[in-house]
Amino acid sequence: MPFNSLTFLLFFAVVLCAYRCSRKWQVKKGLLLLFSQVFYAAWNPPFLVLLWVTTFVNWWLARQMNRESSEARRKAYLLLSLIASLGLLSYFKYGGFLVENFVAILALWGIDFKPLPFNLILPIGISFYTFHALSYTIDTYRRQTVAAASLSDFALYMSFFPQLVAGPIVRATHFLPQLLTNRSPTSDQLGWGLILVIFGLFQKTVLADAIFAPVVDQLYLQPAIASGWDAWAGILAFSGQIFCDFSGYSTCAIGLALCFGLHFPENFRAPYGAIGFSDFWRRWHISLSSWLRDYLYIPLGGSRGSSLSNGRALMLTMLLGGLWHGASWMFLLWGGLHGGYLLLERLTQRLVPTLRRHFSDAALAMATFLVITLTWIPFRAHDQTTALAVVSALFRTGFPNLLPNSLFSSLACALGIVVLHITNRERNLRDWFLKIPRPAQTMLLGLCLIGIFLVSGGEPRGFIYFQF
Amino acid sequence: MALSTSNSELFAHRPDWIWVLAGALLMLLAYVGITEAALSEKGFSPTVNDTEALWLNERERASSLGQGALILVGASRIQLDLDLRVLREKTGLEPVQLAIDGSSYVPVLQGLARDPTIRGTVVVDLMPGPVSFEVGPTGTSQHYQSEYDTFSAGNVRWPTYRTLDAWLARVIRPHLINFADGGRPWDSLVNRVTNANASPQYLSSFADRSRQADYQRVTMPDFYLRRVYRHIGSPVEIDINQSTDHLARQLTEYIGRLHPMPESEQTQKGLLDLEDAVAAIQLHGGTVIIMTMPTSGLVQEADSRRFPRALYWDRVAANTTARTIHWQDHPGLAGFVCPDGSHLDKRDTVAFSNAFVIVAGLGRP
Repeated sequence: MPFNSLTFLLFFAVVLCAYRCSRKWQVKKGLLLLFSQVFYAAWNPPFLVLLWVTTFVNWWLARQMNRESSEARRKAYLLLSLIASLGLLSYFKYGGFLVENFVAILALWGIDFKPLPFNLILPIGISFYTFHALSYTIDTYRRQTVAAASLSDFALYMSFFPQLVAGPIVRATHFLPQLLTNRSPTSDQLGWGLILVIFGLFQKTVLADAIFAPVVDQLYLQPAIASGWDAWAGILAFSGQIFCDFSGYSTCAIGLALCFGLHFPENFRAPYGAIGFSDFWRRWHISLSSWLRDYLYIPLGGSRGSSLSNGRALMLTMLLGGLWHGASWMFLLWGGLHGGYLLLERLTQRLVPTLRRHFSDAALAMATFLVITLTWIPFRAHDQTTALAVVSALFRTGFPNLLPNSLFSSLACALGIVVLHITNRERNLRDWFLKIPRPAQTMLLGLCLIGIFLVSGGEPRGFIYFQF
Repeated sequence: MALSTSNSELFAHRPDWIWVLAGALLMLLAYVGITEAALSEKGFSPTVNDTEALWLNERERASSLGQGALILVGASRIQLDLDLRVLREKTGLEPVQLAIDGSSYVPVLQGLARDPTIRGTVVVDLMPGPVSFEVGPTGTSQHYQSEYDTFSAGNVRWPTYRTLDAWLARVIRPHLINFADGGRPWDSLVNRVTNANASPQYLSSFADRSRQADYQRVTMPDFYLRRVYRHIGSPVEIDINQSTDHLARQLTEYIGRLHPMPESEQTQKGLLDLEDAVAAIQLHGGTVIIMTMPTSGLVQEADSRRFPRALYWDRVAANTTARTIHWQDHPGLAGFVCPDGSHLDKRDTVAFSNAFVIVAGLGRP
């Protein structure tokens, strides 16, 4: 159940009451584990089995690794974990894509191959819990996990409902130690947790769904008839939508975890205030980018070695990062473009001081934002035809088809987010919120609640990152 | 706006958030209270929302009731014109309202035809015009039917939480005027609370999916003329914002110039498809009645000019084994006036439903 549904409101109230009524830590953890299974089953009960299998296999392999002294055997266990986890992920997420491309390649050779239909439903959250599992087994192999977790603790780490389906990708080394001691949230944690949930829901339901999504949908449904105004408004709106949708989810997840006294790492840090692309990736989906850095980029050689091997590692990481979002050439292209920008940035590092002398940080951040916005086009478009149609619409003249209200509200909100990010690059939401007077805090939060109420009533729109 | 939301290391200040949260909640409650009062003051009241979940419930009933079901298929006319209480009392059958406002009846009828458990009486409201079973993949009725097909094939409709969500919405929203008529509170704020010229709420929706229209609450003839304008496809050459007299004259002239829509190959195919669906339902043991609901004034004039009876309705009647009822053929059904040209007023639905039961031969033996 998504956080923006009435069912979740009821579910959360029940879980929180049950949690606060329990005293023993084992009971509290048991409740969280049980309710997390219910949360996942609310989407698709049969896929619980897949989650359990991934959980048990990785837990058992990590335990074997902990017990084993032979490096060769430990490596074999790690390999098994990688094969099992990535195998399942590949089968469900990339199976259809691979078959489709295999057929296309055969067709190039004049071979007409008709495979059986590959109609699999993608288990929700599989990309996220697979990365959770791998962070545990890889860290265990590297002897970086504090202590071997019990099966129930590991299962809770894998399935804890705030982060189960769309992250943030919490590392085992960050989460499991928290399960060793009784977590009773203070009133500060509970209050701030609830405030974060309200902010997150506001981002999702008001900004992403009500203001940005209609403008984006109109452009990508009919790019051929969009004017330049519609196209620019649409791509800027998608920058706003993808941020508010995913950051909204992460903010809710962090807030929900805090209500149970558990801490999650931050996932976004004013990303549209980034100056350059490496700065952007330090601020956008931080839990994924740091995961890719630690478990893929560095093992591939990282910044050691020659420029060539360094560039290869970087490009491979970004391509796989793109592909992680979905089985599509468009995601691969998106990852490749970002890989290209990062490479270019490294190659032209010497120019950075000159650029900074001539341009303000705000101008450089705006330029970065503009490139990032254009690069979202292949990410949002389902195919290259749509992507090219959107790009060509950017240069079209004519009056906007969008209603003035939609056009101006989405432009104003998108630019508002950018300005807020640029002016608060190093500031934390909590710091910012604490600095404003108490009545203003109340007023702001009240307006967020009223906003959420105003746009409620339709079918809740799913979070974009659920599909990844 | 979340700039960053780290929660692990930033608890140096320990403010008491309870007052902030309580204040914010009070603001929300105050907003809801004030808008509810304002809407009520303006004459609006809460309504049941005609949702997918409600339709799916009714669709399940259509199957489970077997021969005892009186299944109504169509769009807004059959939903507004027939009184389910009268049908229940006079026929001894259990009415099931499957009509979907503004959407094609075809996917629903095809779904009934495919379902061997449909053994009741199916009443299809056929609007004047060509019969075509070529419907696109989108549309409300297509979506509802496809959800039902998934469910009835033994597959769980994912995600499963939606069932509970729909139930919670049904518990909460019908009590708030902010959600009346299927709108969001934002729509209520913009179109009703802050709009001095807000259209009065003339439609009521009920839990059994029936609806009623109270045309005494709207301004006539403006409301009627706007309905006529929409019915003929909102032609660009007519300015909807001109004076009532001018608009009436221009609409009358426009409709006077309408010609019969020529038949096509698709027309014949549509008739065959319709008969296939009828025959399939009859094969299960069901009965089908195809009827056309009353219209009045310029709506009727437009329909009869574009879709002359001899070219359209008579061919439907000649090509189907279903019982057919045209309202003009029965004095009991023909004596009603549709205030907006297309639908009956709620004060007429009881009498019309009684007449329909007699004409259709559905009265208790």
